[in-house]
Amino acid sequence: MLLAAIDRTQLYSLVPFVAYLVGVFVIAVVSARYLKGRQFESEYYVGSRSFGPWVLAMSWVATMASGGSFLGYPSRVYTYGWSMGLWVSGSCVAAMVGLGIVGKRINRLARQTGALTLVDLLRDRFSSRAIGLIYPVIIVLITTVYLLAQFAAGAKILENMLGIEYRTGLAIFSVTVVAYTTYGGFRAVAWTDTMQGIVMIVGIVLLVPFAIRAVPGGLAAATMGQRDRQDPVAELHGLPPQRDAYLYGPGPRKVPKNIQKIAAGDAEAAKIKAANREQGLEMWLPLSMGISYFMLRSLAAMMMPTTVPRMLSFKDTRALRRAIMVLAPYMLLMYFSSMITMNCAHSIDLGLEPHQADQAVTALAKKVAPAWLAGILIAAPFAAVMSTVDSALLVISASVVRDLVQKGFCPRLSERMTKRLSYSVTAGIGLVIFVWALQEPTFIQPLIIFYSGGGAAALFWPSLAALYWKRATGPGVIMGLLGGATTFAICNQWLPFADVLPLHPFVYGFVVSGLCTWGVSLATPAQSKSRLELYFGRDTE
Amino acid sequence: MNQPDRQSAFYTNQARHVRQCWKEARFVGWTWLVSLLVVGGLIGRFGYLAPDERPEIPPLVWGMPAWVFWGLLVPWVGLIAVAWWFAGCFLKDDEPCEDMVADDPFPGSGCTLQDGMLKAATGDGEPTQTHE
Repeated sequence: MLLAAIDRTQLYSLVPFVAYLVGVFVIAVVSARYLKGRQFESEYYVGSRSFGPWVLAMSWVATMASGGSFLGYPSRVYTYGWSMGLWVSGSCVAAMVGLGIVGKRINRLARQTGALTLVDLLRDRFSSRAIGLIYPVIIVLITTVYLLAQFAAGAKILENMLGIEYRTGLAIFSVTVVAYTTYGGFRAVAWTDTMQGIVMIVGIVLLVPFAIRAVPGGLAAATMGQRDRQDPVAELHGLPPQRDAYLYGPGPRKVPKNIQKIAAGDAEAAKIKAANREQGLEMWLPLSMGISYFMLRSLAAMMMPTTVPRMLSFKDTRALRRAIMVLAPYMLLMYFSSMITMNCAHSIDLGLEPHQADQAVTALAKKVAPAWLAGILIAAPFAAVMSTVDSALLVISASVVRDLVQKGFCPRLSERMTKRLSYSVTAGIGLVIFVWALQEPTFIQPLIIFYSGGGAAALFWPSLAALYWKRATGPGVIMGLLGGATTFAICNQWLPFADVLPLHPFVYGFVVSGLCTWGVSLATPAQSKSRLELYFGRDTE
Repeated sequence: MNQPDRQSAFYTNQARHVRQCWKEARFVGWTWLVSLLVVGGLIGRFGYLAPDERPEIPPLVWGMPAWVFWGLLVPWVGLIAVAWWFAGCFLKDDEPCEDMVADDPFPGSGCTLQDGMLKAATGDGEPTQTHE
């Protein structure tokens, strides 16, 4: 009887998850039918610009909220407690910024010029072949790194949920997401995103009452319980803990990447500890770094290569308006729910070591939720990861096929050839990332921050200038892109002023990109008046 | 409507669209700045206390530290209201593009207006493939 009960429990956990996967494939098959009888590229890459508010809203947030939002961010709350408040605060204004500043402008210009990618818009705006080559190369590079993190996240979820090996989970995840994305294109991606967005929010919000109920005394008891919590980093290195470190900024000490070796009593543990102490074990989130994260989280989504296609695909301003109204409370529900559940998690013994924090959400779901709900809750982070991977795959495919091959070298590519190339590149990228991800990356969130931080630093000012500033020029936009990307990459390895005023590398890249865009634009000849009037009109009022 | 009138309508509507988008972008920009100052200020002032300045018993509201409630949750709810007002009342419907029928009106610019579409050029001045 006990064996039967165990099997039933596992079955109940798997049913919602399997149902979700079936739903994804059904959507892909239905979406593929739309490709017949429509212009292939427009349908495959922007869904023929036909999406309404719900698809726009859900696909935007599902794409933006990746494994980072459902594994990385909760794992950080689990690790650092309420001190994560400032870290996540930028999300309070992300929906307005992400859609309100550029949504209408990009959509209109894309309709007028036939643009299917951001690079299309920028290349045509400045009649610049250089932009058409440099931009997609950078987008491909940073999005590939991002995909690596997401594939790893998807594999880890399956590893934890099904009790299978990481590589097996990676294979299942890769085949699933690459198959429906390749076959169904953007419509499949957007519709599955919509389903995933709903699964995500239902899952993460439903976990809240179960997590609170599992703690005797509720959330207040869980919060006060954090007062007695030991800082494992301070303890392992023989440092004095700070009072109420998990209830206030800057939080406890930042967990070093080599903590697993120290905790395991590795032979090198003493040397590692000494080296850590010499380098300095910094606090988790100094105020200046917290402000950096506010900027990053509020601004990054606006011009991310994976979210811009949503701006190209909605059907009218009414859809945009309603999407903003849906997304604003959605962001609060999503991120604040995780704050609550993960701050409760420490009062519920999940049996996780500091380096296993990425498993906190799935472990909590299994522990406190009934089996049928646990399946939905475990599907939520999986859905988040899939929704991001499918968008990123198409971004790379569009960058290669449309921006580099078709617009760069083969303008008379036939539709048949374009179709074959699109399918091949989408599937091929998936295969490459799968092989790369076989070497399991340890921490997912830093890779995601590299993408969002690097992307925001490089793309924000050049893209904004192209849309709104008449004086912007092609060289200015290129230098803004390169300056931002290079500065971010350098500062990611070597952070200037780290001892005096620690700021996220994004801030430096962001500033340099803005200065380069502005300075080089002013130093280079302006575009002709006739060309500017096409994009900015002629003021007669 | 004859061709010159259509072109004129296109340019006028395009300018009106840019002005409105710019107005909306400025509003969002200011909202962003104010939210950074308010949220960052409140959390910095009440959430970043030195260990010896922290109260003996941390004040809680709804089970969370008071600075999280007043510095993060309350402003966040306020910003949702602002977003609803912005989307519902401030963000204006975009005008439809005017249909144009024109030969290349801008010789040498590399861009033409045809059937309401801008046909932009590559760097060497050749028109790109049309896709709409």
